[in-house]
Parts: sequence; structure tokens; C-alpha cells
Amino acid sequence: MMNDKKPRRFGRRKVCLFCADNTVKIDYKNPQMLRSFVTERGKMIPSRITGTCAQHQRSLSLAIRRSRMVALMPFAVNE
Amino acid sequence: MALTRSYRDQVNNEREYEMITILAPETTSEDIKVIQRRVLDLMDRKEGRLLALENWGRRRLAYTVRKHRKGIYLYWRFLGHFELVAEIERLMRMIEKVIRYMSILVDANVDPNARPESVTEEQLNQAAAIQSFDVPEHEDRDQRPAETDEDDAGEAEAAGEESEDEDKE
Ligand SMILES: [Zn+2]
Repeated sequence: MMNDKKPRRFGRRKVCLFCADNTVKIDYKNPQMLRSFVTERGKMIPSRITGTCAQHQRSLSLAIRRSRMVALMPFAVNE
Repeated sequence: MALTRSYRDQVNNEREYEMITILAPETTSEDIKVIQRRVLDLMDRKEGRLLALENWGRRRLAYTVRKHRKGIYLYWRFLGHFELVAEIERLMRMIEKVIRYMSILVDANVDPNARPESVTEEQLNQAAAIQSFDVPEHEDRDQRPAETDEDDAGEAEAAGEESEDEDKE
């Protein structure tokens, strides 16, 4: 987390987090990180809100699906 | 599941996989040793090699799996050909203590010499020695009531190994 940012998790970012910092790895084994990209109810947040580029959004969505498969993350709760 | 070998496979190269298995929370060290032995036997016969095995402890599951709210996570990394994964998945379906498994292709074309490591006796023992600690995984958030059992979805994806290949490209 950057210090100059409010602790809001879903602030509108201009650039993709993963393009900006290539040390941040998208890994289904790291649910703590992936949690920033799903809502309270476990639904994936659209890239237009998180600012994630299309390519990284695809890897994110794959990682989240895998993470759910091994019960590291919950499936989305239907409204 | 179609046992197709990709044309991309180099003759002497192998595929690198990782697999997560979730065991029922009451699984004993002895059970885990038996599972290890069966997997290692299979790898011997199918010319695969177990690179690493980790036990991530008994964790709270994000949702109930076969009525279990906790499970013991084992993380495997191995080399082999596609046939081996199919065999390992078949074995996992047969072992009652395994409540969920997922294997993932990490690299479709690995020179085995570039992965000289092999699981050690110590790693195997560590992976079998558990039970004493619980990992408080989801305590900060997921306090909502248990969700429906997603077993079917899990098995479908776990069996869909070939679709993982496409995602890699
Ligand atoms: Zn990006």
C-alpha cells in the first residue's frame, strides 16, 4: 500500500496495478492479495473500477477461479 | 478426458505441474504417509518426479467441502507427462480422505535437468506431521454462514486439466 493513498481499497486507479509494479504476482495461492479484487460478496470487481488492464484482468480472473476451486476464496454469494 | 499429447512436447522434455489436495480435517499422519507412498509409486511407474511437497496445515475452508469446514492442505509440485496427471487425479478420486484436488500445468515444456531437485525424506516427514496447528485463514472476513457445497463445480474444474493448457498460452 502506498502511503499517499487513502486506505480505500477500490479507488479508481489510472494505471493497472500489475503493469505499474511487476513485482506483484497474480497467484491463486495468495487469496489475501486477490481479495482486493472481489467485492464483499465475493464477486469479481470489473476492471473499469480497479483499473486493471485486460490482460491482467484475465490472469486475475483465472487466479480467482482457481483460488475458489481449492476453497481459499469463497464463491460469489448470489443476491 | 482426452489423453492427447501436444505436438509442442519436445521428445525428452516433461511437463511441470502443481497440485493442491485438501484432506478431511481428521486425516492422520499415517494416512498422509500412505497417500504419499501411493503418489510416489505412481510417479515411479510413470516416470515422473516429485519436486516438492508442502503441508500448509489445517485451515478453515472458504466454504464447506463435503460437509467439512476445515481441511488439511497439501501442495505438490512434480514433473511428468500428461498420462501421469490423469493417473494421479484418478488416484485422488479413489482416496476417501481427499475431499478436493486441483492440478495445474505450470510449464508445458521443461527440461528435466533444469529441475534437479527431488522431494527429500525430510520434506515428506514434515508434510506428514501436521495436526498440531490450525491456520486462521479466513477469520478476518468470511464470517458469513457456510455456503452451499460446491463439490460438483470443483470436480468439473479439477478434471478439466486440458483447459488449463489453453489458458497458459
Ligand atoms: Zn496490466
